Order: sequence, then C-alpha cells, then structure tokens
Amino acid sequence: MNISSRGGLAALCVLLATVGCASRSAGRNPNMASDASMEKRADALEERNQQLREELRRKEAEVEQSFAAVTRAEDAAQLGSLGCAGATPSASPARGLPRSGAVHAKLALQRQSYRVTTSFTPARTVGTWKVSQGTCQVASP
Amino acid sequence: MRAASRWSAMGLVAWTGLMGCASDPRARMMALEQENARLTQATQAADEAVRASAEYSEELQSPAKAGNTFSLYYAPATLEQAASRMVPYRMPGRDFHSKLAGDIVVERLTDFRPLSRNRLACRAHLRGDNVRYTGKVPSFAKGQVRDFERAVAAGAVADLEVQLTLEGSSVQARAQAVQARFNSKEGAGYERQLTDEMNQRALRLPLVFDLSIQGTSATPRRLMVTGNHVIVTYTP
Repeated sequence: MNISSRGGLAALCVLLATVGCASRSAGRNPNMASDASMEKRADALEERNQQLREELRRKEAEVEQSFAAVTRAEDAAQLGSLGCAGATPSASPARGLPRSGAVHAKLALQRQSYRVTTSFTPARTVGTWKVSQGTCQVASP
Repeated sequence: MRAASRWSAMGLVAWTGLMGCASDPRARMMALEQENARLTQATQAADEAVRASAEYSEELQSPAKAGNTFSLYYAPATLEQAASRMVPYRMPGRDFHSKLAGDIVVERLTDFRPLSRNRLACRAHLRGDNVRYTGKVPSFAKGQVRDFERAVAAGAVADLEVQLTLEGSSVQARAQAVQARFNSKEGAGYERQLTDEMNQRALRLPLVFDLSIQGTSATPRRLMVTGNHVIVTYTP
C-alpha cells in the first residue's frame, strides 16, 4: 500500500467515525437544537463554576485568617488553655452548666457505647469570664 | 518524514473528532451541575465558618453578647485522653474489606490537632489480629497477599481529618483518612489501597455524639473549633 492510499484509508476511517458519531448523536437526540441550547447552558455554567472556584479560593483564605484571629482572641481573653472546662460570661448568672458527674456526651459505637462526665471545680473569674475547670471522664456503661 | 507528520495530523483530527463525539452535552451538564452544587456548598460552609468565628470573637471581646449562654471547652489533650478510654477498639476485618477475615484493632488515637473549618486532625494506630484474605487469589499473587496480611498484622498508622458538624443536639464526626502508612516495609505499595478501603468502608458513617446534658434542658447552639479547643456553646 503506498502513502496516498494509506492516507485515503485514514481519511475514510475519520469520515466513518465522524458519521457514526453524528448518527449516534442524532439517534440519542433527534432535536439537535436542544443539544445546542444545552451546550450553551453548559458553557454558562462552566463560566459560573470558574467564578465560584475563584470565590471559594478567596473564602478559604478568609477562613484561615478568621481561624487564626479567633484563636488570638481566645488567648487575649485568657481562655486559651482551658483543658476541659465550662465557661460563662461573668456578668451573667451561671445557669445550665452540667453538674459534676452529669452525663454531657454520649457515643454509641456498633459494639460499645460510652458516656462522658466531668468533675468541675468551683467557678473562678478569669478576665470577664467565670471558668469552672474540670476533669473529663469517659465510662462504658 | 512528511508521511509521518501527515499520519500524526490525521491522528490528531480523528482524536479531536472522537473526543468531541464523546462529550455528550447531557453528561457534561450533569458533571457541571454536580460541581456547581459542591462549590456552592463549600462556599456556604466557608461563609458559615467565618460568620461563626466572628460571632465568637465578638463574644470574647464583649461577653454580654453571649447572653446567658455557657460553653464547654475541650482541648486537644483532653480529647486525646478521652479517646484513650475508648481503645483498644476491635472491628471485624470485613468493615475494611469484604474479603478480610479476622479483626482490625484501633490501638490508639493520638496527635489531636485543631484545624480550620471545624475540623480536627488525629492519627489512628491500627493493627490486624489474625487477618486473612478470603478472596480467590491466583497462585502467582499468593505471595503478595501473604505480604499484605503480614503488613496488616504488623500495624499501620492512618492520618485522619475529622469534620465536626452540629446537627440538633448531636455532633457528627465524619472522619476521612488522608494517608496511611504500614509499620512494616512489606506493606509498601498497599497504602493507597488501605486509605481507600478505610474511606469507603470503616469511615463511611460518621460517629454521632449526643451532647444533651443529663438533668437540664440546655441545647447546643454552636460548635466551634479554634486553634486551642473544640467549644460547644449551649443555650440553657
């Protein structure tokens, strides 16, 4: 087979593939106009997604900044290293804090369940907060 | 040379034609819609994280803004200590892979570290106990299977990222294995497989912590992870 006949064969293959493809598309969707309109909507959505990706990148940077800022604010309020503790604003009546020994978290796994209780010390004032330090205990009933 | 370049050009034309053919507009639209939903959700979650941080920061500066709420604080060391009371935790091997007999034991959870967007990082130390692969294995692959079984028995360490989400009075902790390393070198090459199996099976469902407080009607209204603590704020 010489080069030009091989070229002709390849062209025929491409033609057949293209025709096959077109006929499959037509078979799937008799309304070519609807495909074109969907392509248009997809283009618009692709553009919107690109904008959203950029927006998300900006927001993720913002999230990291606010994570660092809130950690600094916690440190500044002297609440940076509480271990296990309950805290209320010192101006408010301390209501609702769990009593020492009251269950305040439960976890049921497939083969075991656990209950978390805390023994609290009397509240002391830390800056503008009342803090009851505690010792968390995990028990399996 | 010219013939070769003509062939390349034709190949390119055919490839381009076939790729164009392959991109069904409905499939493309569906993929874009899924991406749009994921991006929208992630953007909203980011907004919510910034909003919650700002609210808590304001309360820290002006406690009056916290009203009559109270908060429970848990430092990473406290969480690690609490987790140490829940291990060793034994799971059937089939929770990791449908053809795995024996048990996988979580021996320790360590290195708890707060991350942004209400996430925690931690490290799970696992080992297999009497683990056997029960699937059919062609004879040429039996050695590899034995290597894998020995590697599981010698243990692995998985780095997890746990997303905490407050839902009603519960916290859902959805863990994802970021990477896993076997303790023995026989496991080299199976790390990706272990990570994927963990994510698809053992970690598929979130852990649910019920945060209702015994003897009170206080309800959790915010969950916050800072660089220091996991904080649950309650309304009495």
